[in-house]
Amino acid sequence: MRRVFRRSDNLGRAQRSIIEPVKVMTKPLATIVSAGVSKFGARSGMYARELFVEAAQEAFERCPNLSPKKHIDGLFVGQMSESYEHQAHVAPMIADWVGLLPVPAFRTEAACASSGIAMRCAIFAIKSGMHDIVLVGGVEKMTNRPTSAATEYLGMASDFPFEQWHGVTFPGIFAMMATAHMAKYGTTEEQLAKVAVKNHENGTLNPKAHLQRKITVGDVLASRPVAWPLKLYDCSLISDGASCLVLTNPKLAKKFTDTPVHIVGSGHAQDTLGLFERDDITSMNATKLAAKDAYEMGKINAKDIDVAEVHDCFTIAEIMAYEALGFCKQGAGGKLIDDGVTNLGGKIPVNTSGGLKAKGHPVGATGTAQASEIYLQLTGQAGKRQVEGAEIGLTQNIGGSASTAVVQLYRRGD
Amino acid sequence: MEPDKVIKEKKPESKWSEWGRLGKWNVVGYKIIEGNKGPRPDKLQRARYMLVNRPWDVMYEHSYGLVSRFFEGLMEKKLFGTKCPRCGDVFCPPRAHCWRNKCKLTETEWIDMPMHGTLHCFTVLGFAGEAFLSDLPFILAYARLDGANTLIVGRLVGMDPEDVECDMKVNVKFVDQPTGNPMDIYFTPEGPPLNRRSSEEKARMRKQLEPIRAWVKERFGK
Repeated sequence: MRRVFRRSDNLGRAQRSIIEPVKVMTKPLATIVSAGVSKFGARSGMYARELFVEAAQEAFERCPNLSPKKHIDGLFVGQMSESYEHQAHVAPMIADWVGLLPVPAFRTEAACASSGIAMRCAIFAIKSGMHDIVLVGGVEKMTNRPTSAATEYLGMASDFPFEQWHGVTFPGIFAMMATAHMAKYGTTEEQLAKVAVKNHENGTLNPKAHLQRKITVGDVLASRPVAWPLKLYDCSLISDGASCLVLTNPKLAKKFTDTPVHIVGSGHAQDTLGLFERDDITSMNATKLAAKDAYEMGKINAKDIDVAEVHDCFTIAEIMAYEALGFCKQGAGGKLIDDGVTNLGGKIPVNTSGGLKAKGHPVGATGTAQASEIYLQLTGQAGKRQVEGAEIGLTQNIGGSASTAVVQLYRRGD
Repeated sequence: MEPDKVIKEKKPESKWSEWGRLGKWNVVGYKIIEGNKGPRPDKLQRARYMLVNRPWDVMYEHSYGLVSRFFEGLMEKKLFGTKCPRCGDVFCPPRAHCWRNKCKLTETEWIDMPMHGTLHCFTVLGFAGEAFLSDLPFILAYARLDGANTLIVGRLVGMDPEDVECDMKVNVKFVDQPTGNPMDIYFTPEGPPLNRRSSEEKARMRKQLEPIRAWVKERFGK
């Protein structure tokens, strides 16, 4: 028996199926008019604030009609931990460094979903009318400490003390999900490896990606176990990087760009912090709930998605995301990757940027980096990895052991 | 209101009080580097930057809060859980209040937990935080103790990694000298391996874990 818990009274929303496709245009929540991403990698020559500037510069250059100091009236920054760089209260610092003082600015934290949550805040700000144009992004400078120490800091997003003190790492937590998923659905190490192979291949088409080389299933299987069954090549990277978006309302967006990207659905849900209290550790319940809300809001069905960025912190997470987002039924994620449905050129290309796996995973920057990739795809600026004619995109950003999930839906606005 | 009084105490040795400020505030090393700067691989320029080494660490005084009894129990080699008097759900690790919405944060009651359960899932760690590196590779498992509605984390010892499988029965054991740490308990297998894995799969797993053992031997000499 794989399903342990019976907290069914809290699960009402999850059990309703995702609604049938309805092709109607809904009013956007907010509109992206520009995006920027720093080069991801071991950026030992840069402070976090400088990485953010690198991303912001790209976003500002991409939007010549925008006069940042004059137009931007709010800043939201996602960052997981002050421990990497020993710097808390980063919002005023970043506001200063990107030349926006004294705009209201604050930092949001939800582990690896920190900037996904920052985006939610930015959407609230725009949708409520409290702000007109905001800069929202995320940054993490993780390589200041040895990998073992960075692993420990990331581990702070698991339960204290029951998981942390046993030395449970995040690869360990996702490996637990993997062994359970393998036992329940017969998912194989080879299927996990295929996710890494696909994302590495996409990464070679993205000049911003941390890793720039193709690998084979054999390479993955032969790489050193980090937390068996997850090997080195099943795991995302500890990277430095920043990303940001310029968000406004659909009406003002016309002043800044001819190719806006509308955010038409946004969902956010939580699951238990500790994996040991989950209803079912083989499915991402919070992602299911967040996706359901986003799909309903955007009147979009999983079948309508042209391109998606999902949170592949570990290969098993991408497989479980397919299932939770409705790209396939529960347990069929392994088959979906076998069938090549999510390859570039497949029916739903997933992680065209290279994903967290190859592009890199500076945790605080990941949420808005995913949105930046969708922005590039929907505006035809994705270069060699362009998905032809992409109109509808999706991002799924999770925090911790998928305890936080943010799902956003995007529609090309021109 | 009566002031708090200490019922029992083990003071940390004096060396630990030094710990917090050892090396703090000192720059103990540096590097000046010439590297590539620029947002894209095709637009790089050479630029200099400086790195410094500065050690920093902390001593915590953590509170076990409302579930302190669980940890006191560990020190006496007794395993406690909690139970909701309204719905009967059993928590181990303990929760001070029931998790169900309908129970409206009912306070739970302490109960004794059985010393056996079922392994739900596991991993064999090949990398870890600084403190655990020398123990690699070790098996971590989440097991459900009989009657519990949650899983509890622990190491599994007394079995080769390639024989560990989900759904096997495990016993809970205490370390010789518990200190009130979740790591005071560990799991051992109850009965022989389930042997669902083929001998080829086992051989592959053994081979995958070889480099970890070699690395630990090289770095820690064991």
